[in-house]
Amino acid sequence: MRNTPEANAARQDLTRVRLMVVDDSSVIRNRIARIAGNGLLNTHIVGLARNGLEAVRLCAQYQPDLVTLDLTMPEMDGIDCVDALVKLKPDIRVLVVSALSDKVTALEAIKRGANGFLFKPFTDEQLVQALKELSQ
Amino acid sequence: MNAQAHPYASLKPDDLNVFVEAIAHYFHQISAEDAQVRPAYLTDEDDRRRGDYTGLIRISGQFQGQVYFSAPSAMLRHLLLSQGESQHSEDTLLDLVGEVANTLSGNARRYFGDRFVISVPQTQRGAPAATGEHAFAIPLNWKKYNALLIVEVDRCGA
Repeated sequence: MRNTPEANAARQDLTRVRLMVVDDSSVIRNRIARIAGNGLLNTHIVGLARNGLEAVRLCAQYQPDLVTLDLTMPEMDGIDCVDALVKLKPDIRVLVVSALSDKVTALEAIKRGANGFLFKPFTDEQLVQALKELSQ
Repeated sequence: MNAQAHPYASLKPDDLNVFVEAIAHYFHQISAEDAQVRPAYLTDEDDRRRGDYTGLIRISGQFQGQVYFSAPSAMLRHLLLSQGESQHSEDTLLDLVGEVANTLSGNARRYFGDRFVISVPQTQRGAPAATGEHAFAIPLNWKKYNALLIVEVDRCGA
């Protein structure tokens, strides 16, 4: 590969964690994308999805390494989406980002294959820490 | 009506503290300035006229009813700014008011458990629609803005 700015950017992209953000709220999608793209994390946003069905479609297309996933969404909820994403890409890492604060839901998400759980509302620092842990 | 024949019972004042705590926690996490949250009271006519935008969450499972979050547009714009969001269109304001209602309702599951089933948010311009006689209002003040969480939820078989 030549040493052009484009080639350097492409090489850098290969080392970055490919992140997909799934949430039915545009405010939350944009906020997570902004925090993840602020340079503190070695991530590259490859998709923004509004529901589980869209997430599955984008996952097949862009093969993300890491997904932040809301649970309460239209079309396909987050718990079913964890199943579908893990089936599609078994090595995918899933960070559930949800307001559902009961233990049963968190344990169910982990049982289905999620790797972490971050409760809403979250601070920027809490999100960065959670993404760092799952990016390693 | 015979109370035993009624399969649902209103939430008790202690049950409502979980929403008071959820509101305080939300603003503490999202902004540098905490909200002042007052105790719950039974709603009156004035409460149903407040707010430029309203987010509604329907509650089902072992509970039945709805939770509304209603806020002025200036407060929602300020909340967007505090989250780094520069897009302040009406769609974004509606999205945010629904997300706040969703977050406060979802956080209540820490207390009520997973049988407190919440819907995706429905949003609307204006104040909440008419509420029933068991609706409680929880007023809050954040910066200079006043908003309201209305909890109209009954517990099944209580």
